[in-house]
Amino acid sequence: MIKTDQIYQVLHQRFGYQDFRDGQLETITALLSGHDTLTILPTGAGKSLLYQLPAYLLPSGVVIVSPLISLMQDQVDRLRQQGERRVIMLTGQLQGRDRREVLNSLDQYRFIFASPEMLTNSQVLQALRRVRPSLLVVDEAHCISQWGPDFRPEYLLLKQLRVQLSGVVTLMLTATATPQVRQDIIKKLGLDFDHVRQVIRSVNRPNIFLAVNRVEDADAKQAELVHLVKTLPGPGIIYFASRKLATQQAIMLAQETGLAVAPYHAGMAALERFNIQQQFMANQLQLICATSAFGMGVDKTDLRYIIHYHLPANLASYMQEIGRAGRDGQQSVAVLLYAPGDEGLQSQLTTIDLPSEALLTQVQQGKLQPAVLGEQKELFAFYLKQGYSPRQILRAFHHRQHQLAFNLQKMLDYVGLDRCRRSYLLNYFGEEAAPGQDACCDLDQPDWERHLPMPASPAPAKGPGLDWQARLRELLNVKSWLDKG
Amino acid sequence: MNNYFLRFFAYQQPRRIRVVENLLTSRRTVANLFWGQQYHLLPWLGAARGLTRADYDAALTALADAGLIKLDEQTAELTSAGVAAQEALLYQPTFLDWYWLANTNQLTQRFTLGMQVVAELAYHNSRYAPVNVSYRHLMAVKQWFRYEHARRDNLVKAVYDDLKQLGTGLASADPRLAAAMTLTMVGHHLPALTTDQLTTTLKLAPADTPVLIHDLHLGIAAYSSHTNGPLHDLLEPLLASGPLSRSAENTLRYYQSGQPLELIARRRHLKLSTIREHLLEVAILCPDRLNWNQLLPAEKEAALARQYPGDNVADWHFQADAQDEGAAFFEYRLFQIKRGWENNDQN
Repeated sequence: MIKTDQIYQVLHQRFGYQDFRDGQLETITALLSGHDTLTILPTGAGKSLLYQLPAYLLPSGVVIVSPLISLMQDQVDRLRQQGERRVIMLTGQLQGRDRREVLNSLDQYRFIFASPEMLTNSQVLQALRRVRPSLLVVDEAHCISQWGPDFRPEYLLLKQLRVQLSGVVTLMLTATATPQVRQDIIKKLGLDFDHVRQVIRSVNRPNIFLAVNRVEDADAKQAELVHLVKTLPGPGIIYFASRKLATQQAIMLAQETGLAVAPYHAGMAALERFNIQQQFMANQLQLICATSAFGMGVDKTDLRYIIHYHLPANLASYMQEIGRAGRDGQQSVAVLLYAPGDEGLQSQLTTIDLPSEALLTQVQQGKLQPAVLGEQKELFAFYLKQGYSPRQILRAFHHRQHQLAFNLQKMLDYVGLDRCRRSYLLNYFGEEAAPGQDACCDLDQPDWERHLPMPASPAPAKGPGLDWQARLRELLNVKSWLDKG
Repeated sequence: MNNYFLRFFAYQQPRRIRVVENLLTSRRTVANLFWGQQYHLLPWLGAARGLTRADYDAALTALADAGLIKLDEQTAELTSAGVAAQEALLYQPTFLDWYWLANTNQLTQRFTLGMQVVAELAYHNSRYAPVNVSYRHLMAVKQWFRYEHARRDNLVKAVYDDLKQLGTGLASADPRLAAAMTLTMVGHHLPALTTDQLTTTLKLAPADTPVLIHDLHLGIAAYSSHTNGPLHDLLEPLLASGPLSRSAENTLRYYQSGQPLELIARRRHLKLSTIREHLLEVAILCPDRLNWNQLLPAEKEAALARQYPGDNVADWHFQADAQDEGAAFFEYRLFQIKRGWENNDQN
């Protein structure tokens, strides 16, 4: 049995903290006592620590399954930043000899990150079984419910993974989950609702002011965006639904506002994305125009605003994304821009063309190639391979379409509210309304732009100059060793 | 960025668009190499390895829509407006002759991580996020670092001396190369610039930036191959010993020892057609290493000259009337290659 003072010792020595934040110790104690645990802490409350700390007290490695490579990369980077080198990422990018080498030495690693599709690979599963991990972490666990039937079907295999790993202690982590989603997560992982410890803290982030700016059309939205970027103190992030638009707007906003702006999306090379993150952290950039690929693991504490140029697909995504603001506890703001008809784009993005049952049956019987199933052929092929009948698949997808439409409607309702936005959000996530607060939302305080007490922007850091010799001396800290002779 | 592709097309010479694409992404079939030589594009082999079909096709369509190229299903050529736009691309690469020396995509990863590790060491810091490179490079840099750190009194100084010498060399070719080298290096709390930022900072045309970056990496490869400092140790495993593929090099060795092609094929457990392709690769990339009199005796060459009389080898069409079509095509292609560079020498 691991004692509390041992836990604190690791906290001080490894992480340099004196105390836990709300919900952390409770989760860690539950895990170390062998309880499967579902923890819901708001974004920025220190969820990574919940598995990072036990990793230093448990006998074997921790496996973390994450829905997005960018998110895993962020976590890996952060661990390395802490000086941890026993960390590896199992993704489709790891191939051939490298992959064999890694799998053969998997027990050397303390943190094993895996993308969901890796869990379908038998060699990976075999290697994981050999490791006998002490803890399985399902990060962004709401994706099991949110994405399961459509985007990441591999998440459904986590249930089998648990069985194959002899019922390893499992930590389910998320920042947002309605009571229904919580149940769904636990069920899909094959766990018993009554035996799972639940550590749930409010999703409310009192220091993030909530606003929706409704505009007439695209031109007005553009003007509003420029106005906000010019007036709000930075640094900030603007989320777009398309990579192209994120790139175009970054150029435009840089010209219009004179700020240092960069785009960020998954279509950019890894090195470019790395450089942009580093510049943002160093305050060389004041604004990022991003797609949702940016920021799941962003650890910049002083983000002052998050603007959504397009409507997010659902309130859970929205909460996740705005939760990146104000991690330092200072006043911050989340603005959603809306022009009539914006929902059209989002419903287009979430629509899946369904093949007919006859076509699915013919593919199932091997009479036709999966290619006839259209753009989402791999998705349907996956379900057929898992033994679902064409009728079951279509029923699940129809159900899912309804759910997506429902989620989008909830998002639209949020836009059209005439009462407190915060109360609506909390209510959606199954919480009681929070006690009234001064700076809450635009409905309580319509002239917020003038009166919201926000900290000033940090001084922008200068980028490097053109003198290559000076830059080289700085890169290699020449002064320090030259002085020593 | 679309204008980047203007460099690879010509006025009144339709060029095969797939050949250009395959050269840039380094798909080294004999046909690609042959046409690459005809178009004088061989030095651009592998200059854009990450290029996708979709991006390439979209860029060519955009250039055609802008009236800069004439595009049909298989070929493209510059319009007069395209010629003017091509002339606006001002950056002239220096190190392109070293095109065969390294895969610059791989080299970038190893160089960037290697230099970051040393830069962090210079600030006595071991808590940092390394740049995202593949596992292979991560391991290679780790090994390199341990080895160098153990054997050198001051690794930071050794790397500094190396980079200073390299930078001086680059700057003498074009000062922007030296600037680009240090601006794209990741240091301790000193982020590197992105490609777009480099374009602005160095006042380049956006279409010139990838050319400069590729040139820089060939320059780094060339420097590393000629020195014996820590940079050499870091990058040497990524450097090729010559333009030929390893397999073609092996075939050439057998061939130079006087063995007939059929025997080489048997010994190497390869098809005869593959052996012929290897020799054609040598004929295109390293013609001086072949005994042409033996490969293409005078009477054979004279016969081929009668059969294919025109000067413009690109217009020739193989006439398949021989019994052994494989051998006949091999001789035809050899002759075409030889005539091609003889004509070039005359022009």
